[in-house]
Order: sequence, then structure tokens, then C-alpha cells
Amino acid sequence: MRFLLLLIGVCVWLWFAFGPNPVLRSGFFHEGFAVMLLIMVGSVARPFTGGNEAEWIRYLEELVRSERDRVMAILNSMEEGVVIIDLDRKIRFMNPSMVREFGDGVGLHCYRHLRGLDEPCGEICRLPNVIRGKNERWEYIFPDGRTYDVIGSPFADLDQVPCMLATFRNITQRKQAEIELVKLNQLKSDLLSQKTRELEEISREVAKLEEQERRFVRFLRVVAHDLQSPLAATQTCLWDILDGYCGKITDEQRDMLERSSRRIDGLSTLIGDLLDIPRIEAGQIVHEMKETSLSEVIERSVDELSNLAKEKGITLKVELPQSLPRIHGSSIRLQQVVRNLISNAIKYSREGTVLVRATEDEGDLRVEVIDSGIGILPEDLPLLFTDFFRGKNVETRGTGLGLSISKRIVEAHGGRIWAESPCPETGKGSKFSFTLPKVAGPQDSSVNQNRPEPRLSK
Amino acid sequence: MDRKPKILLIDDDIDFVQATSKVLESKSWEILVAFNGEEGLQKARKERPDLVLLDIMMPVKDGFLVAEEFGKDQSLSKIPVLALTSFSDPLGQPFPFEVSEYIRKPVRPKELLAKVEKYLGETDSQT
Repeated sequence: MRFLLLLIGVCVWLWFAFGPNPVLRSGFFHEGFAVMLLIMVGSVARPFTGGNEAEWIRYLEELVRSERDRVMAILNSMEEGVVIIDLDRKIRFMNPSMVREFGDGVGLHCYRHLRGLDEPCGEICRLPNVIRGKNERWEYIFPDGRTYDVIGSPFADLDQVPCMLATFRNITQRKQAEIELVKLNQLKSDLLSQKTRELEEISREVAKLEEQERRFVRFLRVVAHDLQSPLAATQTCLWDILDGYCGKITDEQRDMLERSSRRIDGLSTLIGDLLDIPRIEAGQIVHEMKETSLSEVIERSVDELSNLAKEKGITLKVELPQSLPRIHGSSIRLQQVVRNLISNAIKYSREGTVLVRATEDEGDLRVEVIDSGIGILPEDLPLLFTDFFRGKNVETRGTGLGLSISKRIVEAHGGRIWAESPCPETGKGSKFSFTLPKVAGPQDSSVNQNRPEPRLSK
Repeated sequence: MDRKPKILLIDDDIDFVQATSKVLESKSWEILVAFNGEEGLQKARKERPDLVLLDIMMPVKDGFLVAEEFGKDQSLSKIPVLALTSFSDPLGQPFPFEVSEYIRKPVRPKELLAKVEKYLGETDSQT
């Protein structure tokens, strides 16, 4: 009896190890070996346990049954569909997952049940290859979009008929995600090329606008010249007479000619100012900018106005530090600003001193023009830099554009301009200040007066 | 200087030329006039003026081009050139040449004479 049990043990082990069921076979070292060991141990230990043999056999049958149940449980709970198809393309087994996906088709032909065909699938069928002993992997895509990742392996059923054991993993969602991704990428590249086209369109538009702007600036230059030329000729003729190059004139004639001359001067300034505004707004200043010495700008402006100050008996004082960093700017335009501030200071002072000062702090250079004149009314202060504004406490001379142009120029340089009245330091008159950003670079040591430089004078 | 200094005035505005010549003639200078850049260059090469007053905005050949040719021409490059510009000329842009000085039109007779005398004096002392 002991021998019989040992024999059964070996048989069970062999069945597990080399039997036709590949699922059991794969685990023979665990289950098969364990069962055999148990049987063998049981057979050896039996004389000491004292149990009867029928009990043992029942116990072993129970063991084998539970092992089979376990394998079935695995198959039942598998997410993948498992199917066994034989040589004749008949379905022999479907696990519950497979039945869920395709319906129960055990005993039917695979091509009919799985694909709804009347005949085998033909060349694409992998069954022959698998039965010949190869493992195969492929994707089944059904017309409704369901997609399966299929792995087919050779398998001999209990009756030793060559079969294919195949697992079906439903990858429809992953596939659709992949398709969506491809679509999304296509959409992305479509969008990108569309945006690129739009960008090209915009840059063409910008180029067109820039060309229009250049033409406009050229047009303004011609207009300015054609308006200024007759005035320059007229003014020169008037000065010729006034300064005695055309013989003697009476006091009355002089008075009339001086009036004409003043009006022409005013008109010339107005034309210059009016045409300056669109030119500055068209960004013309940027083209005029280069590395510039602020000290020179100030000294030239002061030079130009020293006569005017002298005529009015006003002292023009300049305070410049030993050295100032150079700035990136248009010297002509900045000179226009400084000249405008100084001439206003002189114009609205009856006597005293006009102080022009430049200072440097961390990020900026600052220019200040301080006068002891009539000052600015508090209600006028906020409007001071607007076009055509004239203070209520001054007679209406000037174009009302000087300060608004100055503001445009300073802001085009990245600076700020403002006015205070009375001047916080002296308690009278007014103080005009503007800032300019510094450029990193060498210091601009005190100005070399002998340097031959193109310069402008009135 | 033995001979009378020669001054060449190049400007396309006949009234301005007339009025300016009147001022310059008050000195004992010889005044030559040209009404465009091309004519100005020809006169300069022929007459060798001691000083040139050059308008910038002129048709055909503008002051920029004339001054550039002055700079290139060995025989003319020593002659001081005073550029006349109206208020709105594009003074801010960098010029391809150096002129001695820019004078803004219109210019008061006294100032013009002072400038011209300053540069005539300088060439005097150099020769």
C-alpha cells in the first residue's frame, strides 16, 4: 500500500510537470512538487499516523480537485480573454472574460464566431504557425473599432489534438487614445502652421505700416522745409533792413518791421513744433539716438540762451558735476528740451537767477532748471505738459507746445519730466526736472571745449 | 591774405541768397553763388573759395551729397563748410561727413558774419 501511494505521488507530480495542461505545467515546481511531497511524506508517515487508506485516497483526491479548482479560478478571474482553438478552427474553450467580449462560441468555428465569416480568414490567420510550434502576437482590429492584443501559443489538449491557446487583451481604449494623440498632434501642427501664417501676415502688415510711416516722416520733412524756407528768406530780408544793410529806416518803420519779424519767428517756431510732434510720435527719435554727453547738451543750450538772459538782466548759472556718465540719446532733441526749459525760465522771470543743474543718482541722471520767476498756478500744474496749454498768469506768447514736446522727447528716452511751483528749495518761482536713464560705460569727464564737433546755433 | 577772400554760397532759394549776399557783401569779400549742389561743386573746383555756405535741403543734389564730395576731393577737403539748415531738417541723424559747423536758418546778420570771420581767420592762420 505504501508503494501504491508512492506511485500515485510520482504520477501526480509527472502529470503536473509534463502533462498537457501548460497552465499547470508552468507551476509544477510549486503545486506538483508540493503534492508529490505530501503524498510521499504521507506514505512514509502513514504507519505512524494510524489512519486508514480510504481516508488517504479521499484526502488526495480532494487535494487534486482543489488544485484544479484553483486553476479554473485563475482562468475565470483573468481580465484577458482565454480561448483554445483546435486544428479544425473549432473553439474548444473560452474563459468568462472571453465569453463576455465575444459571446459563448464553444464548438463553433473561430472565423464564424469571432469575425462573422463563412470561411477561414485566409492568409492573415496565425493558427497554422502557432500549431507548428511558434508563439505569435498580433492585433485584431474589428470594424467597430474594438482592438485586441492577441498572444497565441501552441497547446495540446487532453486528447492530444494540437491547438492554439490564445489570450485576448482588449486594448481598444489605449488604441483610441493613441489615435486621439495622433489626431491631437496633427491638430497641433495644423494650428502651429496656421499661427505661423498669421504671424507672417502680421509681419507683412507691420512692414507695410513701417514703410507708410517712413513715407509719412519723409513727407513731413518736405512739408517742414517748404513751409520754413519762405519764412527764413522773409526773416533774413527783414533783418537785413532792421540791421541797416539797406539804408536808414525811421523808428516807425523799425517798429513795424520788428513786429513782422517777431511774428515770423513765432510762426516758424509753431510750424517746427507742429511738425515735430508727429515725427517724434513716429519714433523718429530712436533713429537719432547715440552715445551722447549730457554735459555738452546742457552747455550748448546755455550758450545759445546766454544772450537772451543778458538782455533781460538775468544771471544764468550752471552747476555740473566733475563727471557724468554718458547717455544714449538724441543730443539735438535733448538740447531742444533743455533750451525750452531755460528759455521758459528766462521768459517768466523779471530778474534774478536761473540755475541749471545736473545730478546723478543710482539709476538716473537728473537735470533741473530752477527760476525765481512768477511761478505756476496750482490749478495749471497738472495741465502743464499738455498740447497747446498756456498758463493763466502769462501773456499768450509761444505756441503752447514746447513743454508737451519736451515731455514726448524725455519719455522717448525712457525718462520722466515734471514741474514744481514754488521750487521746494527756494520757496519761490518754479523748478522743472527731468530724468534720463544712465548707460553703462565710461564716465564722461569734463567737456573738452576744443573738440571739433558739429554744432548748432541759432 | 593778399587777395579778397572768396565765399561760395550754395542755396536754391533765390530770395534767401539775395538777402544773405547783401550781408556778406558788406565785408570786403568776393561772393559767389550757386543755386544747386552740382553747380556749387563746379564753381568750387574752378574758383577755390576760402569758405562755403551750404544749404542742406536742395533739389537734384542735396547738401549731404555735396559735402560728401567736398570731403572726398583732396583739393576741396581743406575748405571750411558751414551747413545751413532750416529748423526741421533731420539734424539728429548721423551724417556721413564732417562739416565745420551747422548754422540754423534764418541767421541774424551779425551772427553769420561772426561765424564766417571765425573760419576765415582760422584758414588764414593755417596758410
